[in-house]
Amino acid sequence: MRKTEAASAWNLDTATTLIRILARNAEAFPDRVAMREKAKGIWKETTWRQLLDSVLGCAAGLESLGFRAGDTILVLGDNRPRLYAGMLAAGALCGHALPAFADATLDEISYFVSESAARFALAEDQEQVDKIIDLRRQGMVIDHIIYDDPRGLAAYPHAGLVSWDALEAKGVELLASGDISREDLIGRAQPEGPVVFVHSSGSTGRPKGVVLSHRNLLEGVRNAYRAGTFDYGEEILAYLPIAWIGDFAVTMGAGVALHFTINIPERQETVLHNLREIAPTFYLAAPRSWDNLLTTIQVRMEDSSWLKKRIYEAFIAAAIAAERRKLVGGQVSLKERLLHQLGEWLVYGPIKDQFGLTRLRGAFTGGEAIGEDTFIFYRALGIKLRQLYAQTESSAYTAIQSPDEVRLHTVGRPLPGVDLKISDGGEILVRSGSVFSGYFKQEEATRNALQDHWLHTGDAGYLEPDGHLVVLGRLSDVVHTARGQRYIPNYIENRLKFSPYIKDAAVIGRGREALAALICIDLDAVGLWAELRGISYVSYADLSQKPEVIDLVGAAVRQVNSTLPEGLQLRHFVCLHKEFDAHDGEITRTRKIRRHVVEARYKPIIEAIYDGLNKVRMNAQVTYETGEVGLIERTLSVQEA
Amino acid sequence: MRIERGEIFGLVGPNGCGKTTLINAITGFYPPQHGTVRLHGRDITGLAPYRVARLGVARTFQNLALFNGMSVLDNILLGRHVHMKPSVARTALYWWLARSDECANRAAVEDVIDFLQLEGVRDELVDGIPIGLKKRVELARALAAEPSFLILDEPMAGMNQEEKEYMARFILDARDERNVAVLLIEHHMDVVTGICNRMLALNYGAMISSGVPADVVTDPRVIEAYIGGAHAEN
Repeated sequence: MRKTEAASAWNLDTATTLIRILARNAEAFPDRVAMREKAKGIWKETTWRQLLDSVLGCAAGLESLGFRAGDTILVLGDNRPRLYAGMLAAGALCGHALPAFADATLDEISYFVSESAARFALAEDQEQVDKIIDLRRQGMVIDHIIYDDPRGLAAYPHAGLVSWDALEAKGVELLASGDISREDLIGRAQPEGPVVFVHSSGSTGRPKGVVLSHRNLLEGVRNAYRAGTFDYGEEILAYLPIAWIGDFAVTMGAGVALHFTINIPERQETVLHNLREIAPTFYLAAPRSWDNLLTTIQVRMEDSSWLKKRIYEAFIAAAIAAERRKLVGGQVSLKERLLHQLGEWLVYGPIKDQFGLTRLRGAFTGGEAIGEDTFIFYRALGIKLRQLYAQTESSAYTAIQSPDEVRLHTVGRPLPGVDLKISDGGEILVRSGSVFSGYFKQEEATRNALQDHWLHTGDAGYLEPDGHLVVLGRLSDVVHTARGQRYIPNYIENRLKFSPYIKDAAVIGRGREALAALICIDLDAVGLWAELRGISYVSYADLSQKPEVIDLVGAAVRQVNSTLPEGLQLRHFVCLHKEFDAHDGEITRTRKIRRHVVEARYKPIIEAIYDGLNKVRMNAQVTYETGEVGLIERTLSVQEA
Repeated sequence: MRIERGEIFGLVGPNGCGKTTLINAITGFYPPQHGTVRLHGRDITGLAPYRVARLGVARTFQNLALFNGMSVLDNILLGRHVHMKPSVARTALYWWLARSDECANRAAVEDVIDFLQLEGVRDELVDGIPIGLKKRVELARALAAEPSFLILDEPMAGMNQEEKEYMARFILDARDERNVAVLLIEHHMDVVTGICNRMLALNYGAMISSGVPADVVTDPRVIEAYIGGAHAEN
C-alpha cells in the first residue's frame, strides 16, 4: 500500500461498521475501482463512490418499502454486484441479509424463510423470482420481491414485485429531497449490529442460522490481515457461492475493509476464462476446485504436442520431487534451483499465465483436507498454496498456514487475536472477537456451542509442539469398528478422493468387523482415461461397472490401504452407479457427505458387502432437477480390495 | 397460410412433404411455381435471398450450417452482415468510418449471447462444442440479424430433453422480448403443441389441416399422413 493511502484507509479499528468503512473508502478513493463485473463481454467498472451511492440508494428504497431494524431480506442468486450492494444496504439498516445458494431447492429456502420470517427478497433473475412466487403459493408471506435482471419479468402481475432500478431510483429521490439523510444511513448501524445472516453447512442435521455482527466480521479480517493472509488493495475474483461465509468474509468483509478490487465473473461457466483475464492476487478455493484446475491442466497437456508434453513432464516431475523433499525438511541443491528457473521460463510461467495465476500472492484452500498430489503440484509451479481452517461461527477466520512454513497435515497456527485450545475430549475450542454470539433462535444449540465464550467447534484435532494445528475431522464422526478400533471416516475418504479418478467416497464400518468403501468415480477423469484406451461406455453407470475401471479404482484403494494401519484398511469397495448429489441429500451444497442419508440409501449394498456377496442389485431413487422422482435398477459388483 | 406478428406458427408433416421447399420458396432460394409470398404486405415472390434477408427474414438450417474453424462469436457476428456496409474507403479509414459501426455490431451480438446464455463458449471454435449448443449458435446467428420473421428448420433435431426445454424457452422468449414472428418446423409434437399458437400440417405439398395445435394433431387426416392409417387398415 502506498504511504499516502495509509492514513485514509481503514485503521483496523473494529468498533465500526462495513457501511462506515465503505463511506470512508468513497471519500478517500472516490474514483478507484471497487467492483468490476463482466457483462455482455465487457468488464464494467464501479467506483467506490458509485458503490456507496448504489448501496445508500438501495437502503433508502428499502426503508421506504418498510424495511426496519431486525427485518430479514432473503438474497437469492449468483455473485452479482447488486446482490452484494443489497446485503450491505440491509446491514446499514440494522437488518439481516440472508444469502442462499443459487441452486437451493424450495424446501431449503422455505426453511430459511420460516426461520427468519423474511418479508423481503432480493432475487437475481426470473428463475429466482419464480422460486419466491412458489413460496408465496405455499402460504409464505414475502411482501416485497426486488429483482436485478428484468428479463422475462415485464409481464409478471404479482404484487410487491419491484425492479432494482426502480428501488434505487426511489431511494435516490428520497435522499435528494432530504426525507432520508445519507449521514443517518451511514451512521445508523452499530458495531454489534448484524452484518450478515449465514448458515453453517449442516453436515449433521438442519443448517443452523448464524448472525455475525460488524465487529465479528471486522475482527476476523483484522486477525487474518495481521497473519499476512492479505494486504490492502488485493485484486480478487468473487465467484464462491454468496451463501458461504467464505465468500462474504473475503468479498465483503476484507473486500470493503481493505478496499480490494472485487471482480465478478460473467457466469459460473466462465469463471476459468475470467480468472485468466483478471489474474487475481488473492484466490481462495475449495480443495475440489484446485483438484479440478489440476485436472484441466493435465487434460490440456494430454492434448498438446509430443514435444511440449515431454518438456512438461520432465520439468514438472523434477519440481514435484524437489517439493516433496522440502516438505519433509530436505534442502534444494543449486542445480535444482537453476533448473527451476529454466522451468519457470519454459513451463511453469506459461501454465500460470494460461490460468491467470501469475500475479497470485495469496493462494488458499480450506473447508476440507487437500490431496498431497494437488498441494505439491501447485507448490511445484511456484504457487504458494496455503491451507486455512475456519468455521462459519468464527467469521471464517481461525487458523492459517504461513507462506514459508507449510506442512501438509497441519492448517498452520491460530491467527493473532485467536485463542485456541484442545478440550479433554479432543475437541478444538476457539475464543476470539470474531466468534459469533449465538445461533439464531436456537438457545440449546447456542448453549452447546458457546461455553464461557469458548466456541466448541465440534472438530477433533490436536496442537503440535510448535503450535501448528492438526484437524482430524468432525468429533461426532469418530466411530468404532466391532473390534473397537477408532477412526474418522472422513479422513480415509479424503485420502481416497486424492485419486483423480475418485470424485466421492463413503467409508463404512461402524460396529462392523472391517471397513469398506462406496466410491463415486469422477466422470471427466475416468471418461478421458477410458477414451484414451478405447473403452466405450454409454453412461456414468455403465462406465462405473467396467472391469478396467474397477481395476483402476482398486489400485487407488490399495494405495490408500498402504498408508493405513492394518485394522483400518478397506477390505471391500463398490463403485456406485451415480454420483452423490446435493439434490438427493447425499451431500451438502458445499459437498460434504451426509452420512446417515448415504448409509440409509445404500443399505442393500452395505448389507451385501458384509454378507460376502460379489454382486448386488440396487434400486435407486433419483431426484431430477425438476423435482420429479425416478427409479433406476442396476447390478453393481462388490470388489475385494 | 398467414403468420401474424408475435406468433409462433408450427409447420409439420411427414418427410418429403415439402416443408423445407416451402421455406426455400419464402426465402427466395427458388421461386414458387404458383402463388405469391408477401412480407408485411409487400410481394417478395422470387426476390433474391440476400434481398429477402435485408427485409428482416432470418433462418436456421435443418443440417447445421455453421462455419467450422471460426469461433462462436465470429459465427454470430456473421448474422450481422445485413446491417454492415463494407467498402474500400471504410476499411482504409477504419478509425474514422467503421469503428463505431463495428462496436455497435459487436454490442448487438453480445446482447444475443446474453439472451441465449452462450457466454461460456463465446471464444470456443464451433467445431468443438456439442450439437445442442451448435443449434443454439445457429439461432443466435439468426437473431443477430434482428429479423422480424424467423424461420427455424428443426431446431431441436438430435437434442435431449433438457436441451429441448431450453430451446423451447428461448423461442418463446425470442417471440416475447424481441418481437419476432416465428415459423417453426419440428417433428417433436410435444414441442409443437406446447409452444405454437397455430399450426399447419402438410402432406405431399398439400395443406391438409390448420388451426390451433390441439385440433390439428387430432385431425384424422393428419394422423393418417403421419402414422399411415390406410396402411394400417390394409
